[in-house]
Amino acid sequence: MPIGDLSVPVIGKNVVIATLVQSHILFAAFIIGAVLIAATSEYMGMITKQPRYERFARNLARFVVLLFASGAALAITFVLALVTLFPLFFSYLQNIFFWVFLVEAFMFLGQIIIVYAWYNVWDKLAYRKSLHVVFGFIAGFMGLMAMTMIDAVASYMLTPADAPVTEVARTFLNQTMVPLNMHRFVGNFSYAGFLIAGWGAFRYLRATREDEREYYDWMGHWGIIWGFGFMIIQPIIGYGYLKGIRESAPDAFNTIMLGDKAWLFNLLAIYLAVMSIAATAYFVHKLRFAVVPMDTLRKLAVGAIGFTGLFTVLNIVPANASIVPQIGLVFAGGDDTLIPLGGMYPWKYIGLIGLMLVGFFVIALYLRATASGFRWGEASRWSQYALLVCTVTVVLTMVTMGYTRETSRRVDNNPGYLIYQCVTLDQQVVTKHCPAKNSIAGGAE
Amino acid sequence: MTDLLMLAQQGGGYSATGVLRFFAGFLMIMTIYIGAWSFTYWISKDE
Repeated sequence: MPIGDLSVPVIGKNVVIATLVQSHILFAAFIIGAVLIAATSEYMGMITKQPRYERFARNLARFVVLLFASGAALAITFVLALVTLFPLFFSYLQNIFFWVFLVEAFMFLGQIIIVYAWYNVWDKLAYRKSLHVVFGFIAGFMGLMAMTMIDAVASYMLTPADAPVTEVARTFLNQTMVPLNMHRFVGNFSYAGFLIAGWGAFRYLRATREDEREYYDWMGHWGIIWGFGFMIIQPIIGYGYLKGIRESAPDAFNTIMLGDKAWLFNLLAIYLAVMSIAATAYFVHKLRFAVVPMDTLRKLAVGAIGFTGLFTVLNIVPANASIVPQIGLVFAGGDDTLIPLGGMYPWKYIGLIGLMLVGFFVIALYLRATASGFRWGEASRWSQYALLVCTVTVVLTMVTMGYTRETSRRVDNNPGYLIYQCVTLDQQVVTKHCPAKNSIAGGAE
Repeated sequence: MTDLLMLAQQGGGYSATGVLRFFAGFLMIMTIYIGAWSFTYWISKDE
């Protein structure tokens, strides 16, 4: 049997890799974000002397320790599947990124050791709290470094550097490495925050004791501050990332922004809208329970919901009448029929910038109210459903975005690429347009 | 059904096969995801 010529019946081998990687990322991103949120919460508990921060940090650390096994098992299964199904491609990656994979492996190892130590010495270092908090941040830092290493590989696959692969700095710092890393750094906090908010809401709805209702009400609030607070930074970082893709891989950019798969970005805009409106509605509701009455702030927040809806509409109007060609959702002439307010410039820019500005405005109002405190345990069930909606939507956003980036390299599938313009989906090296020329396959540049 | 499975073993692309594989992948991701969360919740519960 020729090397690398294995196939998987029905679903195909690409779907096997996609399934394992996407599942792994959903855990890995949560673990990195959750460790840093837990360490920050522990620090907040140390500073403010409020016991709920300490309780939250310790429970989250415990959960991360238990969840680590699932994330790590999926990572190992993914690497095994990659070696089995794409051995030639994996060899090329190893040649190019040997040292990156090595650092990544040690960072992963370091993260495991420190996370376990952090949780296990919680009582032992109870009187040396500063040192214990540092454990948490080091664990988070190692997770971030592991992510940074794998981001170098992932970004290179879409935008290979215009240099031989032996130029390690240019290969590592390829055109989209920094924006991708920033995007994921912020995304980890937002994703973990929304999941924590959803968990708080779920437990709040099931809580029967007053102290439990107060604690889980607070947890939903704490989670959504992280979730929404970091989410509103994403459009500007995402714009920087897309700009890098447009300049270095224009065909891939056209595929996902203007071509047959532009519907993915319409879908993302819908997700952003759902999370923005649900989070703002939660804030509006919560402002009713501010210790110091804040009627004016609440009225301003109600207005913000209206503006969020307005800017959202600008983001989700499709550019043309070819909505989802893959399933035949095309009407009135398809590509040739432009839809009013659907163009990227200026409407989508206005929509994204507007959404961000309104988001900053709302979170500023909410933090202002947070400074004077809330009455906990009185939130309505509907406000908790809003948090749960955010949680489900953020998972769909993660999956959609992962699919979008990876599918952009396929362009028109003639051929699709594993490394853009360098290695095709059937693992053949092509050098005609490859920025790294023949160096990908170990040849002279 | 047999025809669909035979079709699914051919290449991907903008076809019914691609759509089938997209949803198959999505279903598997959600199954693994929800399964692992539920398992972790179950082992972490205090009795």
